[in-house]
Amino acid sequence: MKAVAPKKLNGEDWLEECFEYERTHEIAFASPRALLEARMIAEMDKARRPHRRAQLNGVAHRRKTAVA
Amino acid sequence: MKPIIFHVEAAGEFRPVELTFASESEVRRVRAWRKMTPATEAGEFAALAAKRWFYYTREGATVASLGELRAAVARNERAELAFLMVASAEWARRYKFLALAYCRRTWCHHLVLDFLAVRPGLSFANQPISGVGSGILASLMDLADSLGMETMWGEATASSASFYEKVLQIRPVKDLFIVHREAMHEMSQTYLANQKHRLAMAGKTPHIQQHESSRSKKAER
Repeated sequence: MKAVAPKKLNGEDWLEECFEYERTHEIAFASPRALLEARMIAEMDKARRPHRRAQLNGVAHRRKTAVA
Repeated sequence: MKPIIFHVEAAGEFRPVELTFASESEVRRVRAWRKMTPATEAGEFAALAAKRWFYYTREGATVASLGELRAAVARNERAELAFLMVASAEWARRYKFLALAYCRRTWCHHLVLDFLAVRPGLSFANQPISGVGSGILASLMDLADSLGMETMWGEATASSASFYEKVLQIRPVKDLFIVHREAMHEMSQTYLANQKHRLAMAGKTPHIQQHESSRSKKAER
């Protein structure tokens, strides 16, 4: 892996360029590997969560009515 | 620990923003970004970063302060640790957090940036707030430098590469950016000097604070 040396900074212009960029672009960045791992964790969490049965969720249990 | 402070542009003025390590309750608030409508990538990333933080917390692999980070490294110099940094501002209280950055300290004492998200649609006095993302990046470089880290790196995507090119002054950035210590030091110093200059020009008392440990570390050099 080779890192490229930064070009010479020109103080105010540099900061102004950064601000201008942020005025016009959304800043929402994720490393692809981190994103994949986080999504897997989210899926694992979902799978681990116990499935609630309807009757435990405040829904009345429906019973068969006997036919006279 | 004193918060790391950088300045952003809001309604034609330079205003301070605090960057701190997130505690568990703060990470929960970050997770709530997923409920924002309309749904955004920032909201999704915030929720996923929070999930990841909780997962690693259960494994005992997160820290919620600089002191904890230092202590964990002192206990085990090869520790892999994650932490979430959150940015907030007194003058923008309606947003609990302006932005977040999910970072990792790797076993060889490098800093990795995994998630960086600025809350979409930030505004103050009906004008956009800008400079939060670059302020966080510059502050992280200062933090890494103060911790004696040799390298900060991260993966870039087609959408983030141009941002990293601008802020890190590296061209071109492809799918990976690497900043070594000398460059981190130079950039964080240039950033701070520039902010001080802008504040002085605006006739404000410069109250930009370099990281406390950063100052003492630099004094030792």
